[in-house]
This record gives sequence, C-alpha cells and structure tokens, in this order.
Amino acid sequence: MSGLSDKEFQAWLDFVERGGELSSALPGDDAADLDLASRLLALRTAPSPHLAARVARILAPPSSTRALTRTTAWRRARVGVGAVAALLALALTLTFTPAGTWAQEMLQRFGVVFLPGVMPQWSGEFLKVVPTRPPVVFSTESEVQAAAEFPLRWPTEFPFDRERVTFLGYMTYTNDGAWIESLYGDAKDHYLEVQVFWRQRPGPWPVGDARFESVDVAGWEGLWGEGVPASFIAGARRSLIYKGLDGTLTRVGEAEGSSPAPINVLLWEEEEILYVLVDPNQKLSRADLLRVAVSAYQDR
Amino acid sequence: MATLIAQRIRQFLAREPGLSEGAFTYLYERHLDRILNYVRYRLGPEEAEDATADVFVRAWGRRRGYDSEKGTPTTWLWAIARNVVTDRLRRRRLRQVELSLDLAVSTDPLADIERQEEWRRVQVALGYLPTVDQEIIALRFGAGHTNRAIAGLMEMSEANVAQRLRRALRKLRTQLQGDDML
Repeated sequence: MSGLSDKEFQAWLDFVERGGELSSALPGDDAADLDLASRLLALRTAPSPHLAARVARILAPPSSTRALTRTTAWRRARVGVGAVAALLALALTLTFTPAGTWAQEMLQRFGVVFLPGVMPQWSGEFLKVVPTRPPVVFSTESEVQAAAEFPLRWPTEFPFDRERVTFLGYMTYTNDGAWIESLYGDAKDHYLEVQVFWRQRPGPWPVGDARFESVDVAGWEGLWGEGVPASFIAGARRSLIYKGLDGTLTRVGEAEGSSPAPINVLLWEEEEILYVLVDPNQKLSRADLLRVAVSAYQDR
Repeated sequence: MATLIAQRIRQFLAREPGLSEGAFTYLYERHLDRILNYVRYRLGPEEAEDATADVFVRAWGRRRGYDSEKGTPTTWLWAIARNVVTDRLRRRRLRQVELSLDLAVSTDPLADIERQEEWRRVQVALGYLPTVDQEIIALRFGAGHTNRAIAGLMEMSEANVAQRLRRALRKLRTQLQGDDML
C-alpha cells in the first residue's frame, strides 16, 4: 500500500474522527479512503425517542420506583466516576485501607502525596458554589458537549449512589476545551463529584492560571497540568477554592488552615478508567510524574 | 501495577455481586448511542433499534451474573451486543427480515432520504467484505471505539486491527465506486 504509512494513516483517521479537515497534500488514494471514513462517521445517528422509551420501559416497569432516564442532567452527568473517582487512589486511598496503603507506599517512593478523598465531609452549611471565574453554566450534558466542540470524556462507572446526589451545575473555564467541571452536592452526606475533560492537542496551552499539555502515558492519552487550581481536588482542604481572573481567591466550605496553592496533576485514561496522580506541592516535574505513571506498566 | 489498580477499582465498584442498578444505568446512558450505531452497521437501520433494545434487555437480565474479575462492565456489555448481532445474523439466514422505516426523527426529509440511500449503498458494499472487516468497520465508525478497544474486544493485536481497518476502507471504497457512489 503506497502513500501514508499505517501509523500516519491512523493518525489522520483519528484526526478526521475528531472533526479535522483533510489536507490537499494527502496522497490521492489515502485522501479518498479518509474521505470515505469521514462520510461513514457522518452516518451515525441518535437513538429515536421510541428506542429510549422502549428500553426504559423494559428496564423500569411501572411497579418500579426507579425509572431509567437519559434526560435528567445530573443523573446523566454522572456517575462518572466522578472523574475523580477513578482517581486512581483518591476514592480508594483514604476510604479503603488496603488500597490506600498500597497507593501511598507506591507514591511515597517518589515523594508523591495523594490529596485525600473525593467525598469531603463538610461541617458547615450545605455546599454553595460561588465561582469567581466567569463560568459558562449549562443545564445538560449535551449542552456542555455542544459548547466544548470536541469529544468529551465521560469517565467510568461511579460507585456513588446517584439517587441521593443533587446536580449543582457545570462550569467550563475555557472555550476551546481542556477544563470542564461538573459539581454535585448532597445536603446530608456532602458528596462532591468533579469531572475533568480534555482533548489531545499539540503543545502546551494555558487555561486560566494553569498550563496544560497532552502527554502519552505508555500508549494511553494523558494530560499534564501545571499550576492547576486546587478546586479540582476539593476534598483536600474540605473546601472549594476558586481563583478569579483577577487573582482573587474565593473559598467555599471549611478551610482547615491550608493554603490554596495550585497543584500539578497528571491524568491518563485507560479503558475508560481515569487515573490521576497529584503533586500538591508542585515539587515534581512533568517528567517525574510521567516516570511514576509509566512505572505502573512495567510489571505487566 | 496498573492492573492492580484497575482490579481494585473494579472490586470497589462491584462490592455487591453483579452490576448495581446505578452502574447499569450508567452503562445504558453511555453506550446506548454507540451500540445503536454499531448495530446499524451490522444489521442495517431497519433492525437496529429493535436489536439495540434487545442488547439492553439481555444485559439487564444478566447483570447479576457480571463478574468484575473477568473484565470491565463496558467489555461485558459489548460482548453481549456482539452476541446479539451474531444471533440475529444467524436467524436472518432462516427468515426474511421484515422491512420497516428508520425511526430516526428528522426535520429534513430530503436529507433523510439521501442518508437512507447512502446507508443502503454502504450496506450493500459492506456485504462484500469479510465478516471480520465488517465488524471492525462497525466498531470503529459505528460505535466509535478506538483501535485499541477493538483489539481487546476481538482478541486481535492493535496493529492487526489498524491494518485490517485500512484495507477494509480501501475495499469498501472500491466497492462503492463500483456502485457509482463516489
């Protein structure tokens, strides 16, 4: 097969799938094949209301109080391993001792400390989100998808009981991707879910005060974030902290005396499980955290 | 080590036998569209919605038997989806499929007709490809799976998937050109 190598062809295919346009410099046959791929992708369709209703009816008979629905934003929105669920160890680290011990041992070797918990135990009033950075607020996941203009990542299954969680809202801090959060709260148990999404793009790019860069972690797509606002891992300080565009800090919840220093974070996704390594002290470089991440695959 | 992490997360997610309602609902929300489009490729638009519903009915009935040690919920659901397609393709040999209109809702009837015509041509052209290639095309362009995910589902190497996908696209295009599509 002449023209592009297999690797180049796949890269172009991925690019087309993300909505990229074909170059006129492509070899003729490859361009035609990729054009066909683009047309095949365009043939995708959404489920009809009939199908959604049909499946919902079958799975949730009238006697059941738990109806299956795709329409309520906070329910759709996640579950998602709350992003951070996945959080590799976050969810597991402090909640479950064996996993927590293991994770801490692994990371202590590299001087990395996990921020604790994605389920902060608020002691004050019911969580109220007061962002100072001008947010774009959406009411549905599809609105977020439309605004993002790139495929969002909806991370993994989430163990939280979504029936008890209230959707608080979406916020995005950039109009070209990379950083979107969705927040959930519970008046009784004070759950909080935060999700992050990104798209692969070349070169570092700024998002607010942070700086992001696409990375490869043992063949899996990842994201390196430097100086990321600590609101990302709200549980660490049992409060949400937003840094405004003017540098003003706003804290919601209990402070516990921690300073709202930004963090470094490395995320990568493997088979829809989102892994996150966090350096709360910004002492580790991108290369350091990549070394930790890649080492996870060396025992395979 | 990452395997250990994944196992522990799975154990946590599946601390009760089977798949919880919440986890199942998540699967449904996340994969309904993708399974529908995969099934459309494999079975055609006439049968797609019915088969997709069948996938979730079957999965719902078997959710208590889900074993986190054997794979992720996603892998489990997709195995069921592929089984449903295989079963229907087998049955198809025994009976004529009753045609019905595509139920997709649209505000542009002309575009609908064009799409249906294009679909018809793609379906015919796909029929000339080996079954494995049809499956790869459906999983990539219908379901939106990555080559890596397809490799996992089909128990092939990622490189093999990439090669077959490229060749399948070329064959499909040649076939469609014969149909005066391009």
